[in-house]
Amino acid sequence: MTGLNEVGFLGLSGGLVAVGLFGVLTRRNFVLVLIAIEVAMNAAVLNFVYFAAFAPTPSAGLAGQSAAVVLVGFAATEVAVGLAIVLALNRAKGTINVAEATELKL
Amino acid sequence: MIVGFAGSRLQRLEWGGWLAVAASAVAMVLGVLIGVGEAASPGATTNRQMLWLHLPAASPFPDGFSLVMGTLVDPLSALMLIVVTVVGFVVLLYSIGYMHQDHGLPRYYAELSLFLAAMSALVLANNLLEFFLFWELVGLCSYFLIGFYYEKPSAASAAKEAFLVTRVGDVMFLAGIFLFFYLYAGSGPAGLGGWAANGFVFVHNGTPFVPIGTGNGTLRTVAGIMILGGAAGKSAQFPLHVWLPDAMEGPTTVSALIHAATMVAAGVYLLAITSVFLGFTSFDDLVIVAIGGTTTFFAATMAVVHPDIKRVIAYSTISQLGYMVLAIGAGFTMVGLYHLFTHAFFKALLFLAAGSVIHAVGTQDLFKMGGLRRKMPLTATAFAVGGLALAGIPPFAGFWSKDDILASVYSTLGAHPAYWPFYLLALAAVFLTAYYIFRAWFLAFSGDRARDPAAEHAHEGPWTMQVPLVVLAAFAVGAGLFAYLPGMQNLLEHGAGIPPVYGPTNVLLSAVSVGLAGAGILSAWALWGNGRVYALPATSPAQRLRRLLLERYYLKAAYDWVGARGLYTIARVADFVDVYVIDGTVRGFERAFGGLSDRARRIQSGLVSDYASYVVAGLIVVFVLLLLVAPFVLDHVGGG
Repeated sequence: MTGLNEVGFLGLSGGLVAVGLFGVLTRRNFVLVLIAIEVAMNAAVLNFVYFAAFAPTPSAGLAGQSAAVVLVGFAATEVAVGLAIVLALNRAKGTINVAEATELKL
Repeated sequence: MIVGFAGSRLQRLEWGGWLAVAASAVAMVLGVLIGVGEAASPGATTNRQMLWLHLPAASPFPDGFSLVMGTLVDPLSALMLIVVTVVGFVVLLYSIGYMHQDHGLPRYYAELSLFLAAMSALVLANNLLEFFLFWELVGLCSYFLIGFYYEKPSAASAAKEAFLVTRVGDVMFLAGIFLFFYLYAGSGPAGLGGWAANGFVFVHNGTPFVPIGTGNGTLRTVAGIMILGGAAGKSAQFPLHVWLPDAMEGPTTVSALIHAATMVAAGVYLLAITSVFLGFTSFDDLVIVAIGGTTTFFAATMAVVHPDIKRVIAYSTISQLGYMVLAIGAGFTMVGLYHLFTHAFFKALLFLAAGSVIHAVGTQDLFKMGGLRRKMPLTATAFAVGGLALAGIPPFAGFWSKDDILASVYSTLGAHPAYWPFYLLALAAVFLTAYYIFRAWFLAFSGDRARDPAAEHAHEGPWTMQVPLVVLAAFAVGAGLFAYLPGMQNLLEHGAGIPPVYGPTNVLLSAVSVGLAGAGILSAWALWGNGRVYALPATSPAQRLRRLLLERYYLKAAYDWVGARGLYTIARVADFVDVYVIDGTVRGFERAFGGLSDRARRIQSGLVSDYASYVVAGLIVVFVLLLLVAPFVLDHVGGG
């Protein structure tokens, strides 16, 4: 697979993780936080696909691509759980601002 | 054996007093039987023991280390046993009459019985550790009984003083024991494995276990001095004598039994067994003679001016114990013990007679008494007999034993010129002794009537108080002549392993000391006889001397000062260290962790995004470690 640049792909993955982290840490809206998590997670999916292209055997490459497909499924379930939490938070607090949810301490 | 039946005496019943008397009567019979048995078979020693604990061999003790409990009957302990049991019985009988108005009687009889049991066991102990055990036990009983009237602050503080002062001696005694153990742990008869493996017993087959006079000279001297310190604490010898006069705060019966006849004699007994079974070095002997002679004289001077009848007798006890210490130091152990024997009887007699007086008039102040001769003829006679015995007038008991001491010490003066000053002090004390005891007698008993109206209604005590006086008076007259009974000779001449030292009294020396005693009695009569009260002129220069004596040469004040200033300062420094260094360290830690946890608490905001950032920070740290530090460590340390 000539023409593919490792630095470029890893840079793309790293950039996605950085954007996702930035979103998770700075956004106050829970929905936006969820979106940021999805962005960061896509970096991992991308890595699976990318490194599968360098696999020594076709079957090993297949394993990486299938992991990517599974991860997409995971992301979907994760979003479902996350949205359920958003709804529960909204019901309990009347807001979806994460800064308002401060009960997570002893 | 003795300990076994002594245990039964501890029952506290309504009639516990009589029970105690009965039990002590049994003890007396047994004690005297043991004494007679010992006298019948000269020089025999009976040693029964059981192993209490055996520790396996360790580096200083190649054959192990044993603790044994046992009884040893030899001439010394038989003599002491007679004293302890006879005086104990007589005093308990007297207590029935003397103490009947007091409350807390079960406590009194229990403590007194415990004392008798411990004292018998102490006398019969067959090794130094067992000796020390019962030594502490009699000290404890002494503390209890001095503080019997614990509601009185003076009694409570006297008890504490006695306990603390004797503690100084006890610590020295223990150090002495350890030194002797250290010196002789491996020695002893061949094939037995050394002293330590045999529980530090005194004798083996009738001879001292440890060969006398072996081992390191300097250390042995120090060990002897330490033993002397213990004896000085217990027997109230200079400079640890301060507690005994104050111990008179206890009931008079206690003073008679514990602080005159038996417990204070334990110190002398300790010196005796040490000199017989372990031996003192010549320097030790000189120190012992010095302490004995000095104590004899200075205690007598303090007795000369005191207005309290019991304290006069207490000082006289200290003084007489000094004679015994002097004799043992000069090498005449059995002579010292012989004086202990006679002294126990006449001093108990004096105390019980004084107790009769106190019981009758309700005061201890000699200057409030007077004229009691008519109302209490028996007591007056008994006190006079005791006084004559104390003063050393023949044929009363004190004459034989005290003159024997003076003659024995005199016989050593040629070989030890250093003993001269102490011999002279002891000789001078003979005069003082006769003077102060008859000053007390004249003040209390002579004259027409009492100086204080409260003493007008004096009368003799009940029969339980009179019988002991008669018994003890008989002993005070006759105990000196006991030495001429054949059996008694056996006791006195066969101290385990020492040559016979009891000899006839030098007539000329006797004449001198009897003359001195007579002069003492006459000067007492001249100043105080027939109800006279000699008042020292207020301007007399002797007033300062009198104050000095009343204040006990300011020694007690000095001890108090040392205690108050010296020890209190140390205590304050210790307190400062405790509060600011030790507590400060603890508090510092507390504050540091408090501050730290305060910070840590703020971290836990409950904000999910904060937590997420900590997770990221942690991840970054892990990455840094993995990428930078781990290769470095692997390169240098090796591994994976």
